[in-house]
Order: sequence, then C-alpha cells, then structure tokens
Amino acid sequence: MPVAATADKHATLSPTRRLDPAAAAIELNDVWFAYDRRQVLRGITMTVPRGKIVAIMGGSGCGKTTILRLIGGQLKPKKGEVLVGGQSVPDLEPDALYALRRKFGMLFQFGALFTDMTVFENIAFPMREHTDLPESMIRDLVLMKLDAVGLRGAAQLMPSELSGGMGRRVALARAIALDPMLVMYDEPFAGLDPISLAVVGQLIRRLNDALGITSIVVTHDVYESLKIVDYLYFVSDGRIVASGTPDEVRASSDPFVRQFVDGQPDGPVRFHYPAPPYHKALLADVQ
Amino acid sequence: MSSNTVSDLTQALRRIGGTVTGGVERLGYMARFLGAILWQTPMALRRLHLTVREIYFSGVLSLVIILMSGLFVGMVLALQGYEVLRRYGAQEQLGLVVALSLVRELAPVIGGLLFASRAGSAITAEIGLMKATEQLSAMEMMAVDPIARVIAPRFWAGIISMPLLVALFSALGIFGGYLIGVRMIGIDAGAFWGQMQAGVKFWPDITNGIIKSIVFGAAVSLIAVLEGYDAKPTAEGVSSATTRTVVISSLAILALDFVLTAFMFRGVGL
Repeated sequence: MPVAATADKHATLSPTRRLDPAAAAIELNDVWFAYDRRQVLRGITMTVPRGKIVAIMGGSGCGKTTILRLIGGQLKPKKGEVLVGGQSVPDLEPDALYALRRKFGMLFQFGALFTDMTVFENIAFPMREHTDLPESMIRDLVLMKLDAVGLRGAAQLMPSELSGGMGRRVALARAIALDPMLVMYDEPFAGLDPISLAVVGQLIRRLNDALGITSIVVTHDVYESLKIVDYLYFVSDGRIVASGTPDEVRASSDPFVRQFVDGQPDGPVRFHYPAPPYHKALLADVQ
Repeated sequence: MSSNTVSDLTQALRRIGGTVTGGVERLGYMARFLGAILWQTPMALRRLHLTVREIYFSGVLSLVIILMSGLFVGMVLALQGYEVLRRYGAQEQLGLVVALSLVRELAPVIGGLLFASRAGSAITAEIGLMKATEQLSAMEMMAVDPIARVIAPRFWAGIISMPLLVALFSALGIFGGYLIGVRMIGIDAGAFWGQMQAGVKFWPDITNGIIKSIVFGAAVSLIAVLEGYDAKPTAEGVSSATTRTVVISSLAILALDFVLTAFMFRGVGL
C-alpha cells in the first residue's frame, strides 16, 4: 500500500492536534521544501511541546535532517510556516536569526567538531564567542559539561584522537554549552557501541529534564528512541505518516509503524529505489 | 543554409552565451562575497589572533619555498644577465639588472604563483573540508558567522603576507645574484651594489612591486577562500576546488600583472 494513501489513516494513531499548540516550542504548518527540482517535504505539520523530547523517524533521505535545518533557519521552506517560540524563522532578519540561534544547540550527525581545536576549546568555543565570562569560569563550565558526558579526562585531546562515540559525546557537550532552550540531535545514536548508545540516550533524557529544555531527536534507532522520547513522528516520502507516544507506537498495528519498529523488509516503505523490473535489467545486455 | 547548420549555429551561440552569462554570474557572486568579507572585517579584526594565526599558516610556512625560489631565481638571473651584459661591456650593471628584474616583475609574479600553489591551495582545501564535515554549518548554528570567523582572517592574512614574502623573495634573489656575480664571476662588489643603489628608485620601482604584491595577494586570497566556501562538500568537490584555486589564481596573477604593468609604465612614455 503506498505510504501517501495510508497517511490519513495513520494520523488517527495519535494526531498532532492532541499536543497543545499553546505550549509549543516549535510548530511546522504545511511545510513544503525542495532541493532544486527534488521535492523533499510535502506538507509537514508537526508540533514540539516545550520541555519534551520528540523524535522524528523515517528512512534515509526522507527529509528528517531537512526539517532540522528548516527549524534552524539554514533553509527556507517553499511554502508553509516554521515557528520557533512563536517567531516565524524564515522571516527573521539575519541579526534576529543569529539571536535566536544562540538559544539553540545542535548535535550534528558526524559531530562537526572543529578539527583545529582541542576537545576543551571546542566546548569553550560558544562560550568565548557569546559571553564575557572570565577564563577561569569558562574552564569550570567546560569541565562540568565534559564531566556530564564522561569525558573530562579527554579535555586536551584533539578530535582526530577520539573514537566515533567519544566525538559524538563531545559534540553533545558542545551543543549544551550555553544551556540552550532547544537542542536538535541529528542521528545521535548512529555508529555507537551498545554502551555509548545507552549512555547517550540516557544523557539526552537527563539533560532535557534537568535543564528543562526542548529536544528534537532525528534518528533511525527505534528501540533506543522508544525508551527516552515523549512523542514520535514518522516521516516517509516527505509526509508525516504516523505519530504517537511510545506506548501508542508499541501497541500500534499500523503497517508503516510495524514495518519500521520491527525492521521488516516488506511493507509500505520500499527498500528498493524505483527501477525497472530486475529480470529486464539483467536481460538487457543479452537483448 | 540547411536546417542542420542553423541548428548547430544556434547551439554554438547558446553555448557561448551560457559560458559568458555563467562567467558574469560568477564575477557577480565573487563581488558579493568580497562585499560580505569587507562587511565582516571589523568583526574579524576584533579577533586579531585569528588573523595572526593565519599569517603564520599562509606566510611563515611558505617561507622555505619562497626563500629557496628567490635564491635560485636570483642566481639564474645573474648568470643569464652576465652573459648578455658582457657582450656590451656592461657587466658592471649586473646588480642593477638583477635588482630591477626582481623588484619590478619576477618577485611579485613568481612569489604570487608560489603563494597560490602553497598557501592558496591549502586555504581552499581547509575551508572545503570544514564545509564537507559540517564545521561551517555548526558555526552558523552556534550563531557565529563563518565569514567573520573563518573567511575574513584568511583573506586579510593573505593580503598582509604577500608583500612580506615578495620582499624576502627579492632580498634572497639579490643575494643570489651577488653570490654568482661577485663571488663566483668576480664582478667588483662596489660596482654591483653601487649601480643597484643608483639605479633602483623607491618610486616607481619598489612601490610598484609592493602594489603588485598586494593586488596579487588579494586576488589569490579571494579566489582561495571563495573556492573553498563554494566547494561541493565531497572529496571530489574539495579536490576540484583546490585545483581551480591554483589554475584561476595563476591566470589572474598573469593577467593582472599585464594590466598593472601597462598602467605603471604609462608614465614613463611607453
């Protein structure tokens, strides 16, 4: 069954409107976006309530990271609204956009640590750029952030000396360096060993609760996400095809959700990129 | 005229038009990019340590290649110059010929080409890799403008480094000429230095050389930072951008050299 056809049906799983828009930190209303001629988002509507962790899930290339870039103002939608704290992000002037971004933290998929700086300097970077704190206080704050991710002992290492998991944890420490109101995590669990994965998952939950921040987690990892998030959106083919709380997702019999949660190869989501029939392709040379 | 010929002609004209429009668009983009760098310069200069650091990477680390090249170019100039001057019995003028050739022309041009190959390519590769690894995006999301933090310091470092490197190129070149002319061939040292002192004028000779080196430094730095910033965020994209920096910078230096030389010598009746 095509995903688009099931979208309305899946929306009954746990509709977006159930989340209170008055408490929303972020709202996307009918957002459309295309890279040149490639349509990526087709009418995304979603709400992220203040103080909650919301996961955006979906297959590779379905537009999850694009949603984060739209919220961060790095991309502008072709159509629709992107509101952060009631402000329309695409309409902000550069100064206002930069002022808004100071309240954001973002964990990039591959860390995006500055390779010419030590771990310590990477985390001190936003503090030095945006505050007039004395160096002694910056040092204490950096060590606190590093301690939170278990890497205080790695302060003087260069990013090239870190493993993938350590790099991700340092990037996480940098993302929360200025105690942001919103943290966006782009694939925080990708490539982590089971221990690091559980630690990072718990860290995201603890930081969210301790600092009272709002978090958006873009991920493929259903198992880990269901343990830590408050709400999930499933994106496919540029549309929200299902959404719900972790309990609703676990109990769902929706084919898309089941395929994704159970990792089934067959279902509404195609594994193969559109192509002519396999036998025709194989016989093309013979003919 | 057959319809095929008309079609070929139309396609050829379309291709030429596309190339010209593309070139003009690129120039416009470059001008806007330069405007953004200049706009962010006060912000960049507030973090002077970044520019100083880039002067180290672009300037100090280019010293070896610049000094060695200067020395050898000076020595070759002395050998070639002596051979020609001897025919006219003017070998005493060797110091003047070496100094003028270097200060007016060879030091800015060869220094510029070496700077483009050594520092320009490194700048493009570094910025391109920062883009490919999302470091520039991360900076933007931290509300730090990459133009102010990454681009402007590298641009100004190039402009500051070039005249200093060119001056050192000239100095080592003249020393190389001295080694060959005076020490090896046996020209009188007093004549070598005396002719040079009498013949090389601060204006126009040295000043024109300095102007050229500043213009070449600005051109190479702008091309290097633009190509890095605009590189496709892939291994192939960064590699192509690095190559483009060296090729475009080299051609720009040679073309600008002709234009500047034509203007500079207008005043001496040429």
